Amino acid sequence: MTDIRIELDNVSLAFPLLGLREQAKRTVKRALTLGVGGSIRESNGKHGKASILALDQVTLKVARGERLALTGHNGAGKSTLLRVIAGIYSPTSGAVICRGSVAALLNPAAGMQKYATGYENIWIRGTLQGMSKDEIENSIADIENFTELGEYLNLPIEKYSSGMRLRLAFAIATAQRPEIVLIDEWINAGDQRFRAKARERLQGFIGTSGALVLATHSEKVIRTFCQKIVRVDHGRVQWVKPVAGKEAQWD
Amino acid sequence: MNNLVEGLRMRRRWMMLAKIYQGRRFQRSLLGEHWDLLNYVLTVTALGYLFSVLFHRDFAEYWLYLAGGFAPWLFVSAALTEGSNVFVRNASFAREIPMPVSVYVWALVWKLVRISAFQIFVVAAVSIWIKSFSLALLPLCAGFVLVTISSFALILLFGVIGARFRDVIHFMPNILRGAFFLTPILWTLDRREELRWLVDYNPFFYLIEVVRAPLIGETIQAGAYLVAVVIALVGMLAAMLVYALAHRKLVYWL
Repeated sequence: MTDIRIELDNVSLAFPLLGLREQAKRTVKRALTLGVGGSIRESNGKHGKASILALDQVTLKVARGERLALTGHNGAGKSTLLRVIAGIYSPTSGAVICRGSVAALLNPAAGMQKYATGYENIWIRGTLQGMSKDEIENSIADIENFTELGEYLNLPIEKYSSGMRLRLAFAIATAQRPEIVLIDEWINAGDQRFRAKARERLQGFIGTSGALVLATHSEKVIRTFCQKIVRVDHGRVQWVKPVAGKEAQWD
Repeated sequence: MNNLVEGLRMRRRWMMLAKIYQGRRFQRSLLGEHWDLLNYVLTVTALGYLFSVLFHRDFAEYWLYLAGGFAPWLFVSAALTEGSNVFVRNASFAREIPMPVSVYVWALVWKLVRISAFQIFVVAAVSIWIKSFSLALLPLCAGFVLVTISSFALILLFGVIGARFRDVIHFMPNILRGAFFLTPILWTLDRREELRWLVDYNPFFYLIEVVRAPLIGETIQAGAYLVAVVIALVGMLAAMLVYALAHRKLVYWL
């Protein structure tokens, strides 16, 4: 058995605010903590230099087999947290350990090229997410099946509706067999039929994975996929609870 | 350093990215990537005709000189203009798909190597045909490698700087337009000693000369190679230093 785990130790992340205009600089001077987002602060003594504290001393452990839901307001730091785990952002301070192959379903449309056909996009996106030639080849039938796009897969995706694009993007993003799955909220997009299908596919996708971290607002999604809830506010972990009982108790 | 090697190992990804760069540029065009070569030949031929008449030079001879210098010039100048933009342009990838950011640099290097190699191939063919000499393949390859290494360094260095200080991206084309005329690509020194400093103190000259001279069968002073090696080394050193300092923060800046 390979070692699969995620460990965040005292992780903080401050996004520098660059190229601020005067108005924004004045805002920054008030060192805000607002209802939404991370707190904005001026860095020590340096005039006009400011940052948004997106994550504030986050410590978190995800073991093999764990299914975690991240909840919290818009801008609470859920997506940033996922990107830190994925290795896209390195934290300003603290340590991150992520063992196992990662599939990051952060923005499934990322990397998709409008000029290219559906099939070409399977190769493009598949390659960029680190799939081997064989893996891609073997997943094509499955993607054709799931998307039901038929002949459309031979057309450039700029001719697709947004729903069709979503189907394709989702199918490609979930074509891997990773050990760790990170998902941002978008799984609730699309029409009813797509959502039902997507949930089913996701079930299979996650079923084979060693660990899941999923950012969402939806109680239904949490109950379907997760065992544990992590509440994030202003970049801090407020509490961690098991998924049980009524939603009211989660707040 | 690790990040750079790790990126280099992801060969399939950077080759795919290079394909995407080209695919975007030439979408729905009939000739596609061939435009890079065709545009180059057309430009060189048009300028070659004009300046061979103005400078009272033999057309074929002048065409070779211009074409031989223009290819490495395009390589290095693209490394600076596109290079300063490399991370910014790939922001949508870098923020969403986990991979070492150096992959974007390798992809651009690969794209430019391919474009340049085709151009040089054409010049070499014409050169052999007209002058009927045997091409000095080793010096030519050595020159091309030096230009490639220098360009890699420039892309990395200015890519990072351009991501943090966006004005650099817009400033770059302006400097290069000037540098094009100040570098002996269109003109030769021809005993005009008062212009010698433009050659001697011009880094672009050395990067061009190490490709052009072997390509058109001119002798080159060993000194030019030495300077080109120094440029490549200093460039690499500066690029590594800046990259080491900045690569962790780079994605925040995008």
